[in-house]
Amino acid sequence: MSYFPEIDRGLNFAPFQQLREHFGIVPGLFRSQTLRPEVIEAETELLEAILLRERSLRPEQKATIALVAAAARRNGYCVAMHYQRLRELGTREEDLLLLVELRDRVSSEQPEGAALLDFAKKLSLHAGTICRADFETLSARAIPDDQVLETLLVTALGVLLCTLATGLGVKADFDPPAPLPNWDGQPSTKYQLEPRPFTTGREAGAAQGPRLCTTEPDVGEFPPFDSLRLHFGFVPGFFQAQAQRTDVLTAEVRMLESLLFQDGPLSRLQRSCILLAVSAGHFNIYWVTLLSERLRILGLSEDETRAISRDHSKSHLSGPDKALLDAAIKLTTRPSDFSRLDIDRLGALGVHPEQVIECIATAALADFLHTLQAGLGTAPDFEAAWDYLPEVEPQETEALPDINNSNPFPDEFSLTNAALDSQAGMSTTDDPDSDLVLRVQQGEMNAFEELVNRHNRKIYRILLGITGKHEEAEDGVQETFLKAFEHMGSFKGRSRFSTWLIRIAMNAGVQRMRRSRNMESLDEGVGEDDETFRPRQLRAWTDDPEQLYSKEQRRSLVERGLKALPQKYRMAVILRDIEQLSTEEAAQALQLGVPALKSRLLRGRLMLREALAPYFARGQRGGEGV
Amino acid sequence: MFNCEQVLAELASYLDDEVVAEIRQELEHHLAECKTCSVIYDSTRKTIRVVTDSGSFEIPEEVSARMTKRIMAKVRETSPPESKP
Ligand SMILES: [Zn+2]
Repeated sequence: MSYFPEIDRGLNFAPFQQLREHFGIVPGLFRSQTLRPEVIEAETELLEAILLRERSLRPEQKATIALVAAAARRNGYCVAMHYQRLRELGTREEDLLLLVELRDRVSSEQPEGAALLDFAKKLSLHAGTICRADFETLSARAIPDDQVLETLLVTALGVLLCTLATGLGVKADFDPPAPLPNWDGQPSTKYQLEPRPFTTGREAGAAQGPRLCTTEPDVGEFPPFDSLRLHFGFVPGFFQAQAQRTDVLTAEVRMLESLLFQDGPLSRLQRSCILLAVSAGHFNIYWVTLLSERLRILGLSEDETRAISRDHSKSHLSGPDKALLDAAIKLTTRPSDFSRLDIDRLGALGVHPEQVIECIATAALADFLHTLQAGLGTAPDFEAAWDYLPEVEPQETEALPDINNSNPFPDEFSLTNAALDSQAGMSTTDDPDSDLVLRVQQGEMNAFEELVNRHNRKIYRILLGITGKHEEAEDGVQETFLKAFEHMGSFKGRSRFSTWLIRIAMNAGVQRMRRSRNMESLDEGVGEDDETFRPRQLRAWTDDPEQLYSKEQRRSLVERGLKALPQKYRMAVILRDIEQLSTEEAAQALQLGVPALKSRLLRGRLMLREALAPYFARGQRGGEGV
Repeated sequence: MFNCEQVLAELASYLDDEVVAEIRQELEHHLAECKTCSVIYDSTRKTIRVVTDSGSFEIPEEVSARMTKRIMAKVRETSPPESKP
């Protein structure tokens, strides 16, 4: 059962024979793509090379990693599929259930195994947050690089399978694990993963290069590299970084050949656009850079390429092409919102089922490439195309899940900034601005003036927090309100007006920072010290700190302390403790999950505490001037 | 029984009064025993208080009024917003 009809390919269709060997049956995931047998062949080859064949990790270790990735993404189809395979491989049922529920310390007797699973979970959910520290954790446990690479590959493949399953709408082939995992169960607070919409890949692109030690490829003799050279003009670093796995490279290039390099139901150009749009949706600078170069080779103008990457609705693509990109982006960034309706919408525009399948498979491939690249940490092959990354627009998401319909994704699992609309600001009936908003929407200018009056101080403070400069803040306020005015017609009250406004301001502020080439973005300014920060000032504070200094003095101390904070912590503190937004509202404004917001907020408060402690600790009364 | 690490990890939620009963109990138990954590908790709570009523980054009324004026002048130059039926 899926969104697509199944064509009988006969008993001799090689990929199906292969799949039957490993799963006992042909999983519906592949049967639902029988309209495009070449795609199935390429996918099966990749599956065989990465998941099914024994290499550095044993098949059950790999299936376990894939299971954890699927469970982390709450993908019921893939959970059941990997679960079944593990059962066939003889894994103990109790262990499986623990895995599905993402409990910690599954195999305390094998800490390195648990470390790889933790890593896989983080990678599958928020690939963009993987950083060197994660690799240090693994190497501290003496896990060899070939096993780490294999974990990256299996996780990326696991993500690809999840995207396929969601896009194709397949129903589970096997009984789901019983008793059913409690999806609403507490996600371990240990994993405070944060989507980083502004910088995914930046850390990777900056200086680090490949993180894993790989043997230099003998590039002369390897046919897949010839194919890459033919289509890209060279062998991109992403592939060179995997040189020790010629089997995987062969399968990857095969996949690219069937989904990118050749024309099929979709043209090469269409396929490249889908890959580019999804990569941009993930803010993956590596792939955005490489794919925009690829589109240049295919003859697309620079302006058009940039438009497709940043916001394809402003490109010159045809209606159906734009709809394909819409579907691909939704599938990969908001999988929980993707449904049959999205498929039907494409059908109504005259897109053939073969083309829809290709679009889904290409989007899934883009997820694979994104996840793997984020893990490998390869630097862009050209000068990074930062200006091709999309702005985060202050739109409200359509198809917002009904809160009563209970979105099964806990905050932690929101996959992108776009998903955050489902987290917060749901009960907006109490928005004190709703009357004014309505009047503006009916064309009443004075009502807008009142909104500006109400909120301009707040917006100013927030922009000052981001930019640190008064003039920038003042210009930013103007820009924010003009943009809000322009988009007023599309504001539908799904979040509070003030939260919406703050998000516009955040975007404006970040854009300003980018323009002024001050790249301390919201997500930077902290590296390893992130992990090692510990409170140092441990003297008790006086009972009544307010009594020690005048309000002016306190203000000056606090402003000085705030300005010294790394921006991401500063913003969390400003929104929460100065603007007094709720945790959910602040998370929404910063486009973070609630756990991520909380962790930033705590860090910010603790750092500020360090800065203030010399003035407020007991015995310090007036000791140091302000 | 929580150790100091765990207390620190839960501190954000505790400060915002967003912890479930069991964790609260653990936390309070630890805080009663551990001088270091109780100082960190108490001073962070006070930090928040000081920050919240510091009036930081507040701007004078005239500046705010001037901004409104500037913005409305620009807004009136542009076309009226899309009206909703
Ligand atoms: Zn303690």
